[in-house]
Formats: sequence, structure tokens, C-alpha cells
Amino acid sequence: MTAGLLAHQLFIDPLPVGPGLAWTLALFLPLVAGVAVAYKTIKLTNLAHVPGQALRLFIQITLFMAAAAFLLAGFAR
Amino acid sequence: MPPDALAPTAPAPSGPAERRAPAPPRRGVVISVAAAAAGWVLPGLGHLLAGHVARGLLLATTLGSLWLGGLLIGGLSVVDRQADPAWFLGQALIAPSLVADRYRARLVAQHRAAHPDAPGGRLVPADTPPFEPSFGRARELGTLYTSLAGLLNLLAMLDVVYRPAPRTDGFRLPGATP
Repeated sequence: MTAGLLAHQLFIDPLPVGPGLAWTLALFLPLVAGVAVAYKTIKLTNLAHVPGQALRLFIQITLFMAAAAFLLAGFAR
Repeated sequence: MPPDALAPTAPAPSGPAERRAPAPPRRGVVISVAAAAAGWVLPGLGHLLAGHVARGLLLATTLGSLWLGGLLIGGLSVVDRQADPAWFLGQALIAPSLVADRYRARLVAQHRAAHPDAPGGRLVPADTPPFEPSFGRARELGTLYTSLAGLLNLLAMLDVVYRPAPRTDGFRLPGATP
């Protein structure tokens, strides 16, 4: 285990991503946050509105993705 | 009829707000395209050079974090022009992706030269490659992070072309009119 961690090269080797909700959230939420902030930075004229608008977009994307996931899970069963 | 009577005239300002607002300063086409190219080389750099310092720093932070996050999650093998050409189109909208792909290809070529008996195609862990190939969720998410960063950088490049020069202070490209 320790030898494997020491041999790991950041940005060269992939992270040991596992299954489960914790990994899903840890990898999904930063992506949504980055997309929301970058999009609102480009879209808005006044940068002072970016934090609030980006937070709103972040919540919207997360809720819609969760709804889509539940919907697809329902179809799959 | 005097000759000036037929000449088009600018409409008179209708309200006080319209009279107060000056026309936004414009940049030349070459300067705008140069700023977009700078944004391709490094996300946010175009906005920085065009005088939108805060916007440029914010874009550099977010887009840079997304791109580096993709490499952190999926490793170097997520930027692969041969294996995923469609995703690479999105990734190539950030210039460092080309460098990463070149570096990955060089590592693979060196490995194949050192192991001529190894099978061709995509590297697998059994080949003992110089870097660990990513599969499954790590590969998917790493590819998604880097490609989305590239696509958002395309929006940023288009934005810096069409965004008027700022009226506030900031360093400007030569030729930018105040």
C-alpha cells in the first residue's frame, strides 16, 4: 500500500477512484462548481454578481442531474 | 433643396441616460484575435492582456483548475489524440493539452522502442508502461474535466474577441483605444 502510494506520480498516473457515493460527489461537485463559475464569469458584465449567480447555477445543475439520475434509475429497474 | 438635406443624420439622443453613456471603446481585429490566441495558450491570458484583469484571473483559476483536475483524476492517458479523437477536439481548445498529448506519445514511443515484442494498441497495465493507464470512471471523469475546460475556454476566447475594452485602468495591448 505504502509502496504503491510512493510510486504514484501526480498528474501522470490516475487517482485510485473507487465506487460509492463519496467518490461520486467528490469528483462531480468540483466539476459543476468549475463550470458554473467559468460560465458566469464569461456571461455576466458585473463580476460582483458572479458568486451569487454561480451558486444558483451550481444548485440548478446539481438538482437537475440528481433528478435525471433518479429518472434513469427508475427506467432501468 | 440643400445637398445636406438628403444626407443621413444620426438620431438625436432621446433621453438623459442615452446622452450620458459614451460609446464603448473598440479594439482592432488583430488585437482581438491576438488576445483570443493568448487565451488559447493559457486560459484567461487573453482577458488579462485586454485589460480585464479580474475576469482573466478568475478564468485562469477556474479553467486551469478544471484542466489540471482532469489530469489529476485520470492521469496523462486521458489526453490521447489517437484513442479518443472526438474528446481530443474539446481538449485541444486549451493549448497545454497538445503538450500533454505530445509528452504522452513520447513516453509511449520510448516504451515501445524498449519493448519491441509488446503488442500494439492501447497500453494496459500488463505491459508495465511508463505511466499507469486509466480505465473506467477515472478515465471518464478525467476526460470530461479536460474537455469541458477546453469547451469553456472556447467561450472565453470568443468573449475576449467581442468584449469591449475596459474603461477602467489596467494594462492594455498596444493599439487598444481607451
